[in-house]
Amino acid sequence: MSTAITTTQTHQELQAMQRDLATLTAEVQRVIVGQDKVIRSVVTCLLAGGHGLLEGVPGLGKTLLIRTLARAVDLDFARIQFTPDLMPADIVGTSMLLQSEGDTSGRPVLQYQPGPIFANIVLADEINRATPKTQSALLEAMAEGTVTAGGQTRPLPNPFLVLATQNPLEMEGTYPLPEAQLDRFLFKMQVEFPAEDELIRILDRTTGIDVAEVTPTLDAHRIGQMRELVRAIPVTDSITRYVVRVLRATHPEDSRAPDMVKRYVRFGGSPRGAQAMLLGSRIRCILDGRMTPSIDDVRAVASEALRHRVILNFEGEAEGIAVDDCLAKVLAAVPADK
Amino acid sequence: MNPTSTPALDRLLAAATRRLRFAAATWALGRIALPAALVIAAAIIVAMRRLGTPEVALWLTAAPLPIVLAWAGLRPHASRRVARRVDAHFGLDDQLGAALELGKTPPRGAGNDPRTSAIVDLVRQRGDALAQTINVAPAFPIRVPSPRAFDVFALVLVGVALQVPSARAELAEASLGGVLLAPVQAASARAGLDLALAGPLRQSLRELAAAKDEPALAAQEILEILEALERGEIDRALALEQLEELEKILDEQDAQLDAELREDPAMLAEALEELGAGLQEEEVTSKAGEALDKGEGDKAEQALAEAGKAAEADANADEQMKRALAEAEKRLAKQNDERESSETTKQLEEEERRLKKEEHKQPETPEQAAEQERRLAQQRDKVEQLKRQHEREMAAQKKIEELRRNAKQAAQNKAGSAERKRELEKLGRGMKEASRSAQGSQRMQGAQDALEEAKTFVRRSGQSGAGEDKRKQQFRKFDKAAKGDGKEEGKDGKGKDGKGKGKGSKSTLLVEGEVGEGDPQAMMEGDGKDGQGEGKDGQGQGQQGQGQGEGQGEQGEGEGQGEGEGQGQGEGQGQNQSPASSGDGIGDGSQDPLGDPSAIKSDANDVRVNVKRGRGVSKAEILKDASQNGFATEPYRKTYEKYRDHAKSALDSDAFPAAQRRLVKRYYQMIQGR
Repeated sequence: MSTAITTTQTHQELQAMQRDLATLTAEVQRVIVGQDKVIRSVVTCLLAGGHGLLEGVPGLGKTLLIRTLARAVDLDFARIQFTPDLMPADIVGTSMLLQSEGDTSGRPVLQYQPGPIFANIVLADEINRATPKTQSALLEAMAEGTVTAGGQTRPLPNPFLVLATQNPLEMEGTYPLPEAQLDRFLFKMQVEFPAEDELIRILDRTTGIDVAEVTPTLDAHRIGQMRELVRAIPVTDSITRYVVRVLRATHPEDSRAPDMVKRYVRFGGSPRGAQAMLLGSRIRCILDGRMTPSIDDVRAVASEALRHRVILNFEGEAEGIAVDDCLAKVLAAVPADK
Repeated sequence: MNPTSTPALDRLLAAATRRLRFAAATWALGRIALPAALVIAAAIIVAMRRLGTPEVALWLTAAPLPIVLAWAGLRPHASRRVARRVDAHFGLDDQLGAALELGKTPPRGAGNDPRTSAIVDLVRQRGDALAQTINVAPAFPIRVPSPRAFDVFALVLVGVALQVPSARAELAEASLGGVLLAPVQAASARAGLDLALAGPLRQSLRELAAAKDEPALAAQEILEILEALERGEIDRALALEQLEELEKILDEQDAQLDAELREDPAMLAEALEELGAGLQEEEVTSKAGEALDKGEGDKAEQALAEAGKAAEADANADEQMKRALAEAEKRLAKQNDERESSETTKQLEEEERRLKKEEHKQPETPEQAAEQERRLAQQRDKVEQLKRQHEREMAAQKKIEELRRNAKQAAQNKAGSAERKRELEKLGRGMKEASRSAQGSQRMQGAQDALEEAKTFVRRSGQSGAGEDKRKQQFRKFDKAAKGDGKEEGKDGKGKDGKGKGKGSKSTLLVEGEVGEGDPQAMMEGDGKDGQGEGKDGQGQGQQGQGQGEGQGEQGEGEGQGEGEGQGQGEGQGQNQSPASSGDGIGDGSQDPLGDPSAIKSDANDVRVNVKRGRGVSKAEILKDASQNGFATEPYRKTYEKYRDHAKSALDSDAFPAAQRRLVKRYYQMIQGR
């Protein structure tokens, strides 16, 4: 009997979650025209508790998308514009001498001033423009959800989500993110140039009188519930094995690795890549109204989960090989069945 | 975790698996079994046609069918894979597969969260619910594979195989195309047997077989052997073996007949011929004469009795009869007078002298003694033979004398008198007995000749492929013969002037006419030597020899015309019964004009032929020239025609007997160009 109740409840929870996510997506789409895949991927990052890296040429609405999402979920939002002179303290905060109102002596007090990182959703805009030193300031925050400054470690708010953007065209004066930094992003999303009718709709929305208003649909608590339910989604053995085989096949030394990988890839995806694929496929099946992920879900999220984790060798870089092409070969080479 | 049951899903997967097997079977039948069957069929058809593979092998064509069906029926199909195919076809995002898998294997990393179990149940319920709405048929369509290049190739292969000619048909065609309609197995052994050439032989055999004596039985046996060979019931080797066995039997019978023989059949035959000729002079006795001439003693006796009755009734007929009997008596008397000095007697005396001379010789060495012993044995045999022959001739003379006397007395007595009747009866009986005696020996000889000829045909039936070599051998023999090289010629004891009688063997030569003037013995002298049996063929030792010859010629000057006929095998001891006549002889030595090289041995004596030189132009010169110039300078066809024309001209002679006429014709049939 209790099982039946639980099943019904779970079913209801799943349906509620699907409804909420649909509402969230719809709310974002009131502002953002097109980019449905990116929106789903960003929502996936939100539910998976991972961070997202959006890559695209300027003007495609990356920043707007993240700002809209932040407004739609009713979470704290901070935007950090990365520049070469941006210092780590500018991100994580610093201790400052302040005239404390509470101090009777009237002497100034050294007080920690949190940086913009202390927000639920942090937009790291043009993250590759900051120096590696500054970029590294995000490592602890993204991996552990804490910030250590002035010898004191402070937790970041929950949920904490870093959504970074970077411009692939302007390479001069940029600092490519180190592998360790990249690996901490759940997904790396490619923001494509909008199609013709999408552009028309963008123009309609942005040049007219009406301005779309975004209503918050989710709060931190609800997001926390969703995150728990996502992790309760059952995954079959064959899916898990498939994820593992795909990840291994990105390594040139693996027997299943296609020739392209063997020739152009220096390092394959890390275990975080497999985690990203599995979590992403779970969330994707919920977004699609299903209760368990399929091979197609894994294939759908594999590129976003692995493209920033697969490192090309010199030959691959020199010949301009796209990592996505290598991943496509991997997916084609790895059989679905056992 | 207690997974929810999913009966609909299970049924769906079972149905899907069956459908999958059916589709696989259909595919495999069209894609694999059919072309494989075609290829196998082509191979079997070729094997049947060329190698004689039995038709039951065609069942192998069906072999791919059970193999393919077994493969389709027994091939394992993982239900997870089947479910995934159904999901993929209907766009179900692996919901059926996940439901199936989660029912069998617990989800990974679910921990103890009850929601995970709940979701598993939900997934399975959802899968089962979907399964109830799904028809798997579209997911596993049954398609007959479209033809490929290989299928067309296999089909063409079968077509080509059907065009391959059958070896059996070829053999059958070969048999039908040839002379024989024989079974395939013996076709090669009998290839080339020309029954058209054997036609005259078969006719002779049928004639021989018409009577009821031992030669008739032998002739019937030979006919049956030939027919069995023709039908393919026996092969050539077996036919030869049977003929040789028959030959042995005939030899024994011939020896027995020879031992029992009291009168010389040749003399009797000649006497009967004379008697018949005399009777044919008058109308009333002409029937009896003709019957005698044909060798039909019974009819002759009957006809003579009828003639006697006619003479009683009619005085004119009586006169005719008297004249006929007188003429017959005269001819018989003349014949007996001519035979008084028999060549056999001379030969006997000569051989006895030689024997005595040989007996008086003293050998110096054991080898010489052995050789002398051998010659003595030979000489004694010869003397014995001559003695027997002499006795038979004497007996024949006595018989002829008796006939003559009967004829004379019958002619002198009155018509209707008892004496006339008695004498006529005696004469008729004597004619019948003499005819039987002469015919018996002739028929036996005919059977032996037919047997020899049959053996030749059977032997040659397997030599069609080597026809050219055989032909060359024939040419060489004929060339030698035409040049007058006596080793062949004299076998028959022939060519001795006029009447020759001897035991010759195989060869029969056609030599006609004498050449001009010169040494009276020039032409036949060489032959005479051979007549002694120096020729290889002469060894037949004369199981039986007969020679008939007639010679006419005028002493001292030309125009000699002589005809001689000799039959015999062996030594060729010719007897010259007409030393004063000149001319040539035509001999019939055996059924095989070319002789049998394997039997060429002879120990016959030299015989000088006393011929009278004539001035007649001889065609032998032409033959001689042609042979000396060589046949190679002229096409065979022309040469053949030239010889054939010559032979035809000889055949036109009335004095040429029918049996010999047939032999010559057959000879020319055998050597004609093809």
